Amino acid sequence: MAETWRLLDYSSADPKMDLAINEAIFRSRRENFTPNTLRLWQGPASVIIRSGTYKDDVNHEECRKHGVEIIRAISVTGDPFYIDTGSLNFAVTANAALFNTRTKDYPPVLSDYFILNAAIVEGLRKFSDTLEANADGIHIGERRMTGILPKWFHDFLLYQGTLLINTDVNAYHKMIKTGKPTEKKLMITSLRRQLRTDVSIDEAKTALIEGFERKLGIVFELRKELTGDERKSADFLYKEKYGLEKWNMDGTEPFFFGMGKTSLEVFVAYPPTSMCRKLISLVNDVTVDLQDDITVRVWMRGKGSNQHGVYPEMSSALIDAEKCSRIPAIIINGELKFDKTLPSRECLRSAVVAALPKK
Amino acid sequence: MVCGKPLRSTLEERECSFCRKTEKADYVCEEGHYICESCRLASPETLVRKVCGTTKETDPMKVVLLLMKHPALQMHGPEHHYLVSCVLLAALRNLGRFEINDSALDEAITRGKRVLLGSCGLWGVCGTAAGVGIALSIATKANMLSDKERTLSMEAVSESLATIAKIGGPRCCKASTYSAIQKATEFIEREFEVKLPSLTDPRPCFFRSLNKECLGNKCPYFGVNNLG
Repeated sequence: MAETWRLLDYSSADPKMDLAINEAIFRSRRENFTPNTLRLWQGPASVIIRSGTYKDDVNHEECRKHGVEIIRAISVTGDPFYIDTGSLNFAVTANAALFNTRTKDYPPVLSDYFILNAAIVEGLRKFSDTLEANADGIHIGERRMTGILPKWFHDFLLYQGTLLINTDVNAYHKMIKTGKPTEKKLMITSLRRQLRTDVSIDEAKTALIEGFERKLGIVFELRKELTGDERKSADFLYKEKYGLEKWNMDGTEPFFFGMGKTSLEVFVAYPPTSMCRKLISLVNDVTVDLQDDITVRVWMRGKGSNQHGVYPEMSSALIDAEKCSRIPAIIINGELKFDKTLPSRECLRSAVVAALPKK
Repeated sequence: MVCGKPLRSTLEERECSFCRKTEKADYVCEEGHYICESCRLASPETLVRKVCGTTKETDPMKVVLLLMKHPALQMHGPEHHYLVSCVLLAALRNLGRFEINDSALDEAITRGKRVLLGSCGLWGVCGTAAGVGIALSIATKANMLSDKERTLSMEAVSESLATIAKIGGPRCCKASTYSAIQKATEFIEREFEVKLPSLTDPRPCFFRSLNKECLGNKCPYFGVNNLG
């Protein structure tokens, strides 16, 4: 029997919220609350979506002149891309272990990306048989018509991207530095430019859905709304991350547990020393009235990554603390707050309270 | 902690399995192993310095196997570079053949830390092989102007490197450490006529189940029969 995926055709009025929604869906999938999902959305305005590194690729002056905002998605890699109302944006959220049986026909490196791009091409070929997929995206000849920012959590993949259907390619080139014309990766086109005619976004959506179903052997169940947990998570992520200047410009990634909950990681020795035991007890004391708002996890040095489940959530600050022997340590929302010392009750309490979501 | 056996709480006085300090213990394992509070919180550098500074052991493999069980030493990492130098220097010091004082260990750590993480793949020089060279240079007081001492250090690195290269990849800092120490002891015996009373056989590798990229039967240290 064909596997059922959720199809979510849902756009918000704010592209930052759209990115928060994608992360909320990703978190929901990781927690096994929802099935694999293909979300399709369209932005109400022109924006640039970027990963962690971007500065040299964006023409900031042009962006300012045209009021094009630069917003940041969760992704460790990928070139920034420009979207406008002519772009069809997508987010595939899936347990990529399920692709294993399907990727045997694809080159081993980045075959998960390849198969997803091939599914898109399978659908869009009804418009042009010159479309080609590879692990980097979708191409027409030597020009690219996608922007993609992937993100992994263990076996789970969030594959966010855009298809340049009727996108203004001239504006794209103005906002994103295109470099020398010989640099293939930066040469961009749209389906409209290729066909020399507008393509209906609804038609493109239908083609995309059919392509996924055929290529992956799945069936979609259409949903128009997020689940309650996803909505709550998206609101939290918007407020604490995507809506903030700190995240969109230069900030490091905040770290939240599960569907988006304030996180407190305590890193101690194994077995805990007297200082470590005092620290654990202090944390318990300071957070006793905040159980609904905060998740506390104690990690013991050398006990491995499976101390808290098969898919452990560990902040990069915790991994750094382990590598650099910053022990004992307290990390709140992915930020190292105290290490090698026992903080005072007042200091710890104020650090915890400051990290709670604003009411 | 050291052997992986379950822990029990205690109030007895125990000797730390790492630094040999005796203090009132809190947890010991079924085998009686105890790690003092300071060693439990130590960085790899502090731990290696402390253990190599206090050990009376003449078997460098025994010391390295103990140190590598401490969680401060990652499965793979640049700390293995100075680890090799320090355990070799400690063994040579305890054999009384070379004049090696405490500052020799500090110097070995300083030099070893200059060898980058991943130097095996990036430079073609595994840091554990470089660690053998560092130990011999310090023991023989070699520098760039020396004659025989310089040659011997480079030959020791070259022989260690050739053996490590034969293991293949992906890299394993544990296998490289075993190999570097084995080769170094052979070299020291041949060139300096210093025979170590014993050298522990590291097989089967204690860390094999912890290494995601373990080479399995391809590795000479994976099982007891792998060296042939």
